[in-house]
Amino acid sequence: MAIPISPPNGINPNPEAGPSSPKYQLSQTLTAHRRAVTALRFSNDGKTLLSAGADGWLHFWDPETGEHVRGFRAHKTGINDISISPDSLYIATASDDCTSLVYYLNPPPSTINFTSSGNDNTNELNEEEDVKDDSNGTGHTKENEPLRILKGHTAPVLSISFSPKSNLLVTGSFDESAIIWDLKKGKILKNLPAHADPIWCVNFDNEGAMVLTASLDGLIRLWDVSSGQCLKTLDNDTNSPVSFASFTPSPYFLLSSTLSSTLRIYNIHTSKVLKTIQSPNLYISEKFPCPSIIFAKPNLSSSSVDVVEDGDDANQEKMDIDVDGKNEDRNSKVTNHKDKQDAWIITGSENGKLIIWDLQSKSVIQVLQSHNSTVVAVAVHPSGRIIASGSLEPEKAIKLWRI
Amino acid sequence: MQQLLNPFAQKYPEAVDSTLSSQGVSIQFNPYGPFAGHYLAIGGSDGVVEIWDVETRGMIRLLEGHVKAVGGLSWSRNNRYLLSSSLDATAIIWDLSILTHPYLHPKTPATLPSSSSKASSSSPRLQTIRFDAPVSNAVFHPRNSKIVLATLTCGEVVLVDLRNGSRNILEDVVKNPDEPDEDMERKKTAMACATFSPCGSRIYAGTTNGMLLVIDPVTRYVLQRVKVANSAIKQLRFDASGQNIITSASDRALRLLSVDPLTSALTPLHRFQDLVNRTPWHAIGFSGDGEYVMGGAGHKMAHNVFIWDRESTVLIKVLEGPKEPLINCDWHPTRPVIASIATSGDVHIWQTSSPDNWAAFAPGFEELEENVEYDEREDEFDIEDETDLARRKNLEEDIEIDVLTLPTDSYPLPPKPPIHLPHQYLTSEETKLESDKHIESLRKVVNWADENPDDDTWEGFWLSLDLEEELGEDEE
Repeated sequence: MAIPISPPNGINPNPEAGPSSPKYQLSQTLTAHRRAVTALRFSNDGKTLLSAGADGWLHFWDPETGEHVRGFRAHKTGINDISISPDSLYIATASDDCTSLVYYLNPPPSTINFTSSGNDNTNELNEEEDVKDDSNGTGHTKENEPLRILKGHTAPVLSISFSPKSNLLVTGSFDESAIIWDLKKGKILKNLPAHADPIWCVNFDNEGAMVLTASLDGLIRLWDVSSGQCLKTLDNDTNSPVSFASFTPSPYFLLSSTLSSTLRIYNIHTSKVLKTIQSPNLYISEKFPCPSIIFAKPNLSSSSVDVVEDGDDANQEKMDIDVDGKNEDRNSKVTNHKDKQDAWIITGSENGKLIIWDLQSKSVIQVLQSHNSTVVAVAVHPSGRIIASGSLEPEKAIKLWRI
Repeated sequence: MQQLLNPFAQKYPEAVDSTLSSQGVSIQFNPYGPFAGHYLAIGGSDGVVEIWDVETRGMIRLLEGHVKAVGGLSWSRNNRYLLSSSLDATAIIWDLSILTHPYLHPKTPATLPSSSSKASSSSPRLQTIRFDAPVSNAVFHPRNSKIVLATLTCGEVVLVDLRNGSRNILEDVVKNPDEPDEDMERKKTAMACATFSPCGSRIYAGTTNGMLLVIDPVTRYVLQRVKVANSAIKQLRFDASGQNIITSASDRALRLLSVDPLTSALTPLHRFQDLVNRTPWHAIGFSGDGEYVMGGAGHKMAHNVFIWDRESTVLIKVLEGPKEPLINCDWHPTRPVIASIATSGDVHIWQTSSPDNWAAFAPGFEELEENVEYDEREDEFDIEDETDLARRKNLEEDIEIDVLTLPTDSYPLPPKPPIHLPHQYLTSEETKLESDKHIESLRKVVNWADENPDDDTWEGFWLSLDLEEELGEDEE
């Protein structure tokens, strides 16, 4: 199944990271989207890989086998971003048609029993749904009807994110504003008149108390969710457009990428840049935003990747994984005390490469190379053992990498 | 997040920010965890328990099971379970990790098969405990939701241990130090209220004749007996640290007492009273940080919440709301927010107004009260050599940062029982022996409570939504 690739020796500029540390290997190439792959997400339970494309389609994959599970056309226009709720129940899209839609991640089997009530519900909430339904036939079945239609932006929605409690959504748009949505009611909760340029990225912190907005105007703003107040603004020394930003698992820092091929780690409280990561000629990001992800160096002590092997241990690990990046559990506290984990950062480059750095030393750990067009979508499996990447046209492929 | 908020912001609410349309008679914010105060449980006069999302001001759960007014609510340690007690003589434990939708199973650490044996169930109603009389209030043990303390309207307090099915009616019995087999005195006392201390090591009960009893939950002997008032103690609330108690008695006075965490010795500190109107109090409480004392006034024609400074005992604010009288209120565990119920059943959320912080919009800006002469730094306009700059920056960025570890002290957690000897008790041999005795007894309670724990082990628990569920809200 795995497609062997040439060993990365030739392109690894940091040989001392060396042969001892394990490498991600290309394992599969998945093709389904007819246009660029714009966003990829793993669900928190690790059981689903979701991909979105400029063709308006959503595709669901099994991350273990790479099998295509299902797919449907959610929007007539391109999808720019997707988010999966932390409880792995719902997904939300951000589209060029200025709306966001909420769907089930796994539609309940008995939609027949629930269609009548479910339909009334959504119709009441939004009458325009009928219009949408009639005009949208492609791959659309009853079970793929949106649970919520979020209308409010006046320009394409570029970024979307669920809150850690799955009760709110935040969207950032080309119309230079960000909106916090009440998911239950499907209505606007707060409108953040955020920036002077399109907002490319929005994200919640782990407690759901803050939202960040990152914009082409070179600024990152932090907002208090409960009052809608701006708490802080961060800039960068070159005023480069901010293409991506996210809070780190620890609430004291945030990670940003700018279209000057630079990643930065900020201290939120002092606004100081603590790490500046650049790899000239290797990492290029000047035109297309690509997410960058901080993740813990995968724990390979039980060298076998097979999760089924020893039940107890695997379960324990899953606990840690699910909790990671959200909230702490007793188990993970223990592991944290035992040995401090190394933090890695991965992002995609416009030369078709994916680069993994060690955050602490800022050195390149590995370069994943096999895309032949710009990588704009990256996702890391909650276990850290699988990486998914997606590229723009003409390649428009998803690649799965395993360690 | 907390650090980015204005440290000088007002710490008590000002005005009604929004009103939740309900039928409430009792309310309770979830007190602990990373999402402390994100949920508001409302017990209805019609027996319905509702859970509202404080952020969205929307109802997210409707729990139907009681047939009469729900007067008592209690959240389990990590918010997974909710205990509601009603005048229909039952208390119900709800498992909030379960959605009523039969096919929606949220995948969070709380619902992993290893931690939950009831994952296949589709009813949030976990257990119903029946009593012989209407239940005025029932609370979970702070360390284990399988232990429930219920106060009945007939003046009995019942300690229910669901692990072995035992039920014990608490009595005013002091252990006889000389003849352990024989009880020294046995008084027939009617108890009007009872609760666990926040650390779970003691039961505090107020009697109808004004006594405050401190009871060991394991031996069920009374350890302390303090005459607080000459009339019935109607209500009893701890602050989050467990070091202060406020009581409400039928003589219309609120009494503040401090508690020694080790010996549970009680020291009366102050008496709050509305001397002019002689207001009866319908609800009492502390602010989340324990700095303020709250009293919900039982005026017939007004909706008032009194706020005193705990330290100085000065009345600092009277919140004046709508006309309908107040029947209950609760203070948010982390923010200056109070929720109060009016006789109509509507819940009012009181908040501070937040003025815009314009300086936050521009990096490096600071809002000043008055003009300040700017002192430039020595090297502010120096031009640094580029290679030097790069080298200096590189050196600066060499520091270790830990971006993966989550802090554990950023949210409220129940206090821990003092089972390790605090320093102030190490003064002499005698006091050491004395405190060793206390510690041993506290240890026993902790071991008893931690034995056979509940499934509420995930500190970050939160409630998933069922987007297809109709909660009968008015369409605005």
